[in-house]
Amino acid sequence: MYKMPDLFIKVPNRINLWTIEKQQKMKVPAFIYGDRKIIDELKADYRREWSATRQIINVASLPGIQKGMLAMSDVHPGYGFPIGGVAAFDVEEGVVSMAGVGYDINCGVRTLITDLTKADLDRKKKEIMDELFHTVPAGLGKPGKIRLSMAQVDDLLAEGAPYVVNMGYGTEDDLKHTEENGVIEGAMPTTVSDRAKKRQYNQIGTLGSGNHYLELQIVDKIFDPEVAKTFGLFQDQLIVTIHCGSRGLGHQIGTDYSRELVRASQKYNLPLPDKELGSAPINSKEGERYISAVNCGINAALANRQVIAHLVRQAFQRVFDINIQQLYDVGHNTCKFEVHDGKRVLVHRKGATRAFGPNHPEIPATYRSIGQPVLIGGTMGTSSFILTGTELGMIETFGSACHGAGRSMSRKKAKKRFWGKTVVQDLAKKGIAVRAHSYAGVAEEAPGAYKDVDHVVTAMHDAGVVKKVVQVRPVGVVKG
Amino acid sequence: MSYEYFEHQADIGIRGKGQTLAEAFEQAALAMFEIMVETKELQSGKPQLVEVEGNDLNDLLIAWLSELLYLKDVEGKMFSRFEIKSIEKNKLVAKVYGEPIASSQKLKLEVKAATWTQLAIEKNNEIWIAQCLVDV
Repeated sequence: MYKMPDLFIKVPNRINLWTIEKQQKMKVPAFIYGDRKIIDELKADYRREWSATRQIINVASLPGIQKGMLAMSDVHPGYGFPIGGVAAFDVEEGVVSMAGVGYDINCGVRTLITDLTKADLDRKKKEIMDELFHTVPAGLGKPGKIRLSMAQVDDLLAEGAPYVVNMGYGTEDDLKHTEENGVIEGAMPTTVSDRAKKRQYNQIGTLGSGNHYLELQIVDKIFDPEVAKTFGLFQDQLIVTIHCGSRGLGHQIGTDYSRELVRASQKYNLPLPDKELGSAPINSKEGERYISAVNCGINAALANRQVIAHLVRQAFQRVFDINIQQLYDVGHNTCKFEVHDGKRVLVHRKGATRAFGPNHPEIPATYRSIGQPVLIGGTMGTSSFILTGTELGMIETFGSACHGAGRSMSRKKAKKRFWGKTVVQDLAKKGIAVRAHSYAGVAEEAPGAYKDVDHVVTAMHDAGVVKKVVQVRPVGVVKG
Repeated sequence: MSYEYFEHQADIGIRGKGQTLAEAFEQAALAMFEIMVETKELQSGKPQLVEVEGNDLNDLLIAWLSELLYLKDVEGKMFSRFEIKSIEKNKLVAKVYGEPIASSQKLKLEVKAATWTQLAIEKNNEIWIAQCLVDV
């Protein structure tokens, strides 16, 4: 009997690295990071009309893609691109795709560090949770504390986090510890529709809902004491992590350009294997406009997390009378021009974190010799990780890593299986306080609905693309 | 007619069904707002006119759902009743009823966008369906 050849081939002499050889319309092979369990899940899903593997093959077919289509260990089906997907394109012959960034532009993670310990927190846990719940706007339809005019929104899109720091929300030191120092160049507000801007003006400094959260965490396990020390991390320390994105502005930019780039695909005769995978040549008018709009979205998200971080800082000042510092801020839904192997490319990271290795000039001076801090969010009730980029990652993944746990159960199933209040009670028993605006939202984000983040991170660590620094566990969660 | 949800690993699929294309579009909108709020508990409020245009029917469905998400944010409203007056030549005119978002409402999960993934508009056995995944 004829047996189908295996689609996934293990790369010899490497741990947790697999390849799909160039076939059909693929311009490059694909490389997937994961252990056998992760690959088996992909295989099981392949037969479905719509799967992460098909999306990997589709993206590998786009013109100008460099080296290989990459999937990180948290890979699962997304819109056109798989989540956990990384694809870099030649700036002359390549394309930019809206699916490679998604509808929540520069969704990302920011971590703040305190000099408090778990014992300090326990003395005032209720006070700080109440204070954060009331101070940081979260949930559906909740407006922010800042209202901007349309002209001010334009300035914010061009100027990013420094714009809100100038308004008093944060410090120069925060900016130094943010990707791009808080602002990416090439953001022309004229490339963003008025409709997108109108969705922004009262949403600055809001968490939103869904999988976005603000979490109090305790440093639980230290893997690399030297690096942990440089990052300012110690055993039993209280840290705060914010996970959110560009809110309505980013969603509208995604919506506007998903339609525009489908038209561009037809105009430039580009492959459109999936309606979601609209693209435009990087050097076309449409491509340039979209990249600029993404940059505006990146700046809006950086400003958004900057405002929230400052509100958190104020809450800590009121309750504990201490000042808190920023460790770092990373995005995981972006496309950025970067230089790799001496060549300028456009790197799409959809649900993938930038993870630059040691001595990269874009890493803040304090961490430069070590590599970029890579912040990986877990879910309510599960651990999160702080990692660093490596030299191998620079060679193999354009300096990229996974971004989180990745869903293993649909929201519909999660809602059936976990009832919000039960989830909250179960977490309380484990010492994790949850303050949520919607219990339905809690059920959908129940920890059981995600893959094990430890497994996903360990797969990347063992492959050598990132290095574990610390593991943290949640003790308090504020959700939309 | 009715709506239903379909499975996806990370997000939610909405499927509106109707005896006419217009009904299927109305039900898809209702399915989308039911993700965000208990629509049955909302008052209808004052109607407002919505007009959108698409390149084809697929594009029109995205345009219709996207317009409602846009109005949700900029007018701070939740919508619970949709009456499509006409769908002709990829143009849609509708009256929609909503009320301002308030903490008294049972708010659930925010929908970020209507996407092209698993987007389909079909007529099967005299029943129209209009479906797509929404990003939450």
